[in-house]
Amino acid sequence: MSVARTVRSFFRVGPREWWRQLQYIGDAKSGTLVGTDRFGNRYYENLNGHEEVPGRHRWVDYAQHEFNASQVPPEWHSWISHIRRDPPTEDPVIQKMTPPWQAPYYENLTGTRAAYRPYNTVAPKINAWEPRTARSRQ
Amino acid sequence: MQASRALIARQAPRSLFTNNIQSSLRSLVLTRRTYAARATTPVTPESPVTQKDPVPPLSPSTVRSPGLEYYLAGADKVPGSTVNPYKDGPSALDKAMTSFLFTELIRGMWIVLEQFFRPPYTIMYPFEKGPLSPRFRGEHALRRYPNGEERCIACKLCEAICPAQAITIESEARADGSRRTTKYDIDMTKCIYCGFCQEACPVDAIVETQNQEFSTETREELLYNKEKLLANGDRAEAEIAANLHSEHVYR
Amino acid sequence: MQLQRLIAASRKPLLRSGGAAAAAKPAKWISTSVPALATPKTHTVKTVFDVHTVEDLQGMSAQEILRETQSPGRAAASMRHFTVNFGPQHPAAHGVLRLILELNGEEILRADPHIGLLHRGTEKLCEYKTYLQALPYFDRLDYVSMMTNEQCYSLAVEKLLNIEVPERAQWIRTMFGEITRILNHLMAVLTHAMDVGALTPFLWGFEEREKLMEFYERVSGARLHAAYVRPGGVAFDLPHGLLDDIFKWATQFSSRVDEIEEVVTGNRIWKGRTIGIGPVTAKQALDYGFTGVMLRGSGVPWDIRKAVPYDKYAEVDFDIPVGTQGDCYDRYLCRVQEMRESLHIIDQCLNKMPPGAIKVDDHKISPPPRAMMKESMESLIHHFKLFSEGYHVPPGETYSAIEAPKGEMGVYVVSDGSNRPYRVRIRAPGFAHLAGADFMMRNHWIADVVAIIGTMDLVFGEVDR
Repeated sequence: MSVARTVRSFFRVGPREWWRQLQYIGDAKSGTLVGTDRFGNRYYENLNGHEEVPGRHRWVDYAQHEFNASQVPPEWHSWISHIRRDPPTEDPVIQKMTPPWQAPYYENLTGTRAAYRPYNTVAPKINAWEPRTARSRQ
Repeated sequence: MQASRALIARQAPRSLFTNNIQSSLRSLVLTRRTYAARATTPVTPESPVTQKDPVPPLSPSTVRSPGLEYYLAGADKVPGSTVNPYKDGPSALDKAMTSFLFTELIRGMWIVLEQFFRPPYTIMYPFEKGPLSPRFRGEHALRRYPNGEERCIACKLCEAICPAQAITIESEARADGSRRTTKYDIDMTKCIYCGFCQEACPVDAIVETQNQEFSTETREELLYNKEKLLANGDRAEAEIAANLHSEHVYR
Repeated sequence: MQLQRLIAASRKPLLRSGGAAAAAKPAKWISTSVPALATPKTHTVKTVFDVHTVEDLQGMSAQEILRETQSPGRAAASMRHFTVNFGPQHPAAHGVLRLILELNGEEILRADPHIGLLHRGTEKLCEYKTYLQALPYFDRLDYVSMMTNEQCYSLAVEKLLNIEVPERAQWIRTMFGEITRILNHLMAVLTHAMDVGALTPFLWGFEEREKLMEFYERVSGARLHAAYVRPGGVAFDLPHGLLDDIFKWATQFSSRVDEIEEVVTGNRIWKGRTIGIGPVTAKQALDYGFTGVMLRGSGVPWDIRKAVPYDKYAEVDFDIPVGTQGDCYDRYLCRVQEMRESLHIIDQCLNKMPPGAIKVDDHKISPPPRAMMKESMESLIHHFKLFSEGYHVPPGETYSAIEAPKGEMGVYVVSDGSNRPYRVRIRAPGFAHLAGADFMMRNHWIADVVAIIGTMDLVFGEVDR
């Protein structure tokens, strides 16, 4: 079954995409393109239960070579995690709930120079005594 | 699957889901009678599945401790000592065939072989994700009202209810007179993700989003402050609001 | 099958098979071999037996190192018992169990379990939390059967509060209690099988566990630490469609159990590794305070769900599997059969699930719904009181026990009338089972240790608390 599936998606998606999928996903899948987010990640769906096991029927093809799971923006995250049925391009609830001030998404930046560093949001309660010496007065 | 199911000798199923394999029942005893802690406990009638009942007849009023009879009787009343091992077993020929032809091993390996031809159910994680529900409790976020005003009013209920004491809040009156937090820190290394803070919040300000991919390389990155939490909310507001919308009938 | 059991038992000369023989001849094998330890070393020539570290070897020549020892010689050297530290990082130790094993060759003379590596002070922590805040700590006791722990605590607090939980909440608790039992037994049976070498069914079982944890996640929001069963009911109502999905899962789960049984139950390797291993007589089980499958496997029909029915167990129909031999194989059979019985109970819960409230209608105890809280001032006050101060529980004390998947999980709560428990004492089944490790492992081979640890179904969250 798995062999037939692999061969079938070879003929569906073409050799180049097939090879790319095997290199990245490690599995050859074929389905309909549901949408693309602003980072270029492509989202696919295949609702045929004979071709994809239920639970594996939605997947994302990351745009970046260095992919990680947090590159999926929240709206698509709720689609690919099966929280919402419709993709955010068609979901009226998501569209209605998106406020104008919604900030652009960025991935989990840990390990990079842009990673979050905690800091205090209030003035410090304790002000250390800094001794004034003759040199510091100058 | 059908082949192996046919091999299994079964009793008539008692319910839709339960089918008892004979093999596991052979050395077990199914009973409905236990030692009663209260004399008023009704003893349900015996089921047809019950074969041998090891419980000696006893009146519940005299028994003060479970298993007292066994306890006092000593080693000769040990369960199993009264079982005749030759009574219900298979015949010698059956046992010889099983032993020499490896029938039970081959049957087991056949099941394993069947799995080989089933579609793989492994979820290839970063590409495919397991299902979550709108109730999922992940990374925290502070929300804003639709006009962009932050929701948190510094009532400190979340700080009070937090079992791990992971939340620290300080508040001041703002220039326009409304009271807001100046400091809202969550120590995510202490947090136990119980969801009490979002249940406690009267204005739906602190929520646990469905994001679970917030692991960090250093510990300090998990000491969230107010701006980090607000930034989380600003980025994920559509998802949070949609989830609260679908959950509001249950909360 | 009985004959096979006898053959398997007779193949192991060290083991006294079955319950009766082990009880009749206690500790015969220990006394003969231990005194060798006490003989003092009289030899003065430095040999390799005086060496404890690599540094000690440094001043010795090759002849000295390789020389045959004079007296007491090789015979005495072979008499030395070997002490092995098993765990706390051993993958078969099911967590952080540390066992000091004293070995004679491969035979275990003494097993000394050391605990406390996962101690978090749950009982003391609960004394400084309100009754609601103490609840998430109970998830983390036995972290493979989360909701039954919460159920145990909630029943104790409800008893102190003297409240009756609504029907629907009781049915939900019963259903999720049984889901938890399957969750736990899948883990117990299949890690047991994995420890003695059968990896494949373990992976099948984890597929099923994954589905069950999805049910957990859908109902509570967390896959493991649910915080779902609360004093006064449950936290949220079942989401729409959950019961249908549990039904669909339950229709196929029985065949998964069949498959696991087909691979494992009759397998002669599995039988050889479990039959006659770790025998527990009924007397021993009662002496050591065993509960659950460890007690039922020895033939004592004792199940709190039948004896003192809580929630809705009095209204569902199920059987209790009771073993006859009290060995690892019987306990395995009991666990598998309990999974089937749990499925039977889930079936009845699905059919009998009534509509209605899921919390007590007393907003002094359970928080009002959010819609009400946002509109009514009184509800808002209730909400603030409940989430800051908590509710006050009348003074009193109670011991309430439930049949957790591992055995009798009990909690003894003393209330002094304040909003925090004065004392919370947790009776964890695994702790009593671990105390029996020594007598169960004596005179077995070292390879049987993992089988016995597996059959005890230890989880160190509850043993160490």
